[in-house]
Amino acid sequence: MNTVLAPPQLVVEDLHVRFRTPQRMVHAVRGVSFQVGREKIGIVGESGSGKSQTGRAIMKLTPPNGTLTARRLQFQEVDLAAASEREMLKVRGRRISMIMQDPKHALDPVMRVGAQIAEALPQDLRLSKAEKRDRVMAMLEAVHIRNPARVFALYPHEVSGGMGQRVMIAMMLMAEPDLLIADEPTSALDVTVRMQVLAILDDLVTRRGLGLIFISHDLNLVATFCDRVLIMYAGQIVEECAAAELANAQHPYTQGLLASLPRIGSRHQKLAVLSRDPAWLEG
Amino acid sequence: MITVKDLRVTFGTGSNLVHAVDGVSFDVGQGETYGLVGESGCGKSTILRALCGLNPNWSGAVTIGGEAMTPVRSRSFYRRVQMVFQDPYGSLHPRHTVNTTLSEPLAIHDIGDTDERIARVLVQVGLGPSFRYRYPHQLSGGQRQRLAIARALILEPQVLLLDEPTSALDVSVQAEILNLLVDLRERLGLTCILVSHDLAVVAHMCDRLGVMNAGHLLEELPVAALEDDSPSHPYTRQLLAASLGYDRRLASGAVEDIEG
Repeated sequence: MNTVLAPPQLVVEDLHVRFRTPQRMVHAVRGVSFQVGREKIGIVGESGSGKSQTGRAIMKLTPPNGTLTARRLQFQEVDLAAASEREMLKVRGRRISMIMQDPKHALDPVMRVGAQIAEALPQDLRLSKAEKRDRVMAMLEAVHIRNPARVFALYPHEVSGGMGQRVMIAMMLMAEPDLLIADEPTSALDVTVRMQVLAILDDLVTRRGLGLIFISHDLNLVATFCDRVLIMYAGQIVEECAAAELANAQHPYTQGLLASLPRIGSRHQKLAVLSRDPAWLEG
Repeated sequence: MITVKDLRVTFGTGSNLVHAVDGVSFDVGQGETYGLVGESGCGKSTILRALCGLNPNWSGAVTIGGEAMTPVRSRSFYRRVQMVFQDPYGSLHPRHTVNTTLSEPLAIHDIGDTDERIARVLVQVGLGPSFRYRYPHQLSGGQRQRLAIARALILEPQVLLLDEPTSALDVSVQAEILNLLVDLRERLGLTCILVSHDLAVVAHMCDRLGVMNAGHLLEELPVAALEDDSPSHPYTRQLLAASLGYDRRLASGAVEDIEG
């Protein structure tokens, strides 16, 4: 691991995301700090814990009714916190990419797969049509699609879930980003297909030296896939540990989550139910 | 309690004909919980829908409690067999209060003492009387699923069909619902069929399970076989390995699998 020596790609310090609703102020992300190097970092938590909003805030994709504040939000040499929308356009999709949960909703249904992937190529490269096609084909091959020429000409409804997610990954990698944010990239997939998609992500991260932020609610998956894990509860990071050490987690919330998982071999036992301690909110 | 013989369900006609369930047979004993696992599209939910009468286009022989099933069911059938659906956000009427949701089955079946039954079933599923006049949007995901279970139980059925009852819920809430189901099953002596894509959930809840793929029942095995890691079918082994988490070595064989 060269993560210790290399400077971190992304530094997040004291990140807050607040939403104004007609009734009240919702403090979705409450002072989150972490760093990402060229590694696979997992963010786990339950729905509503702020993990997706953290991912979106890094891309500055916080919805308009939300406000984002951070002491520091630095990606390589770019100060994201201070960056204008115009500057963000140079970062978003080019240097930081995001893979969404469900390819069925994230792909344009009336545009062929190949054309959609080509669209992700930076405009200023001024590539010819043939060059674009070659690059898309090469990328489809890189995500292990066996017959790229056929997939190139398909519409999104003609591809399966696993293939759709590969298409999304291909699209996100076209601009050769340095950081990839994957928000539940495999939750919509079947277990066996999930393994294949994860293996592709794993290889790409290793080979291209990307940083990956992997957002998931699946503790088992994150523990076995990522290098490091952040556990979020109610908008805060309650614990950070090496993924392999997750089973020995210290925080009662993490322990509670792990204990509430049914396991093969836990038959006829009562599952532990998480009791939430209000003190966790103080952090 | 339930016997299914050579069940077939098809969708579409001509070149679009899909054999969603292709000759599946299994038995479920009185008081047993039988698990059906498989990936999306393998036909597991389609079996449940055929069993509970939501899809009349099936062939084969199904008996429940010794009575042969016809495609269209009588009203009394639904007093004995009830279903809990996957998504508690979609399966409850947003403009019906808990009280309305629970009194509807009673009204349909001309059952009296509505008040008492609703109060009792709410306590059974751990919601309590204070929830009675709330709307679904005032309930959390776990509370909604408790309400869906209450709606199924209010007719005091003998058979409960569970279609991925916890897949839309967080793990901590899933634990609560699974505990509730185990508890109710024992207290009320229910016979259940649990459909899930999560092998760990099925292994936790059931004694026996069937593994499905592409409309076929590949193998039936006791959960004990999963526990000592001895399923015979390679597909079951694959599911078992995948349920334990990510493993690059296992995935390497699978990467090239999808036809491009």
